Amino acid sequence: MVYDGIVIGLIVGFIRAGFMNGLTALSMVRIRGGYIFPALLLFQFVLMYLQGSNPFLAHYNGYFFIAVYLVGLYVLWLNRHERGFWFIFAGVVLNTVVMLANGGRMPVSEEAASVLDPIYLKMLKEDPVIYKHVLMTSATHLPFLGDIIPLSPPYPRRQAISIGDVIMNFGMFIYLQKVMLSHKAEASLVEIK
Amino acid sequence: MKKLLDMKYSRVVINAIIVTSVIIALSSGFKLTGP
Repeated sequence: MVYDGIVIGLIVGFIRAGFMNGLTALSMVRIRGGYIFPALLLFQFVLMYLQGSNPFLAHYNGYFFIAVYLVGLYVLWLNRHERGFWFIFAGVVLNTVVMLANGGRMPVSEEAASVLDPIYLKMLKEDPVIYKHVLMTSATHLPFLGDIIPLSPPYPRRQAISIGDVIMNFGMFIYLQKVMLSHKAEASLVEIK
Repeated sequence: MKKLLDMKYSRVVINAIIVTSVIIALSSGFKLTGP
């Protein structure tokens, strides 16, 4: 999971808008079909939990993941008028394309994963398909869209992420700034009146 | 007034869950900590 765009967006938003303005703005966020996203997340956790004991799910989970991403793309498209959502949409498209090209799984570069605890790399090598990730090989399609970017100190977290993740987190940062600062602007106008 | 504030805070929590799940459900970062 990559949520840095949200964390940085909230911190910067609260600093720029003020804490109460920021909270009030967050209470007024309206995302069309927004309840779909927690449902998609829950669905993935259920898949993750069940695929270890269910051979059918373990074999076909790539199709389920693609379905999750396509539904997510549709709901993002419904919200395309919101600032930042085009970036989120574009990032998810890139993630979806590379997963579609690789049987519904996100390829992870061995080099990028080497910044993580060695146990992760060991697990990837022993069982090439872990949850929705698969070890990148010479047969991987569109490898540049996979998890090839290593995050490690001085960055505060260790993770391997994709170009799509970077773009969608940038989009979320833009969206949060727009939401949180628009309420501050409205509050300032009211004070002037 | 208290009820109004409570409603707003509950809305903040719901929106935080929605916004967070947009990114977590559809990102791909690898660390086996979830989707």
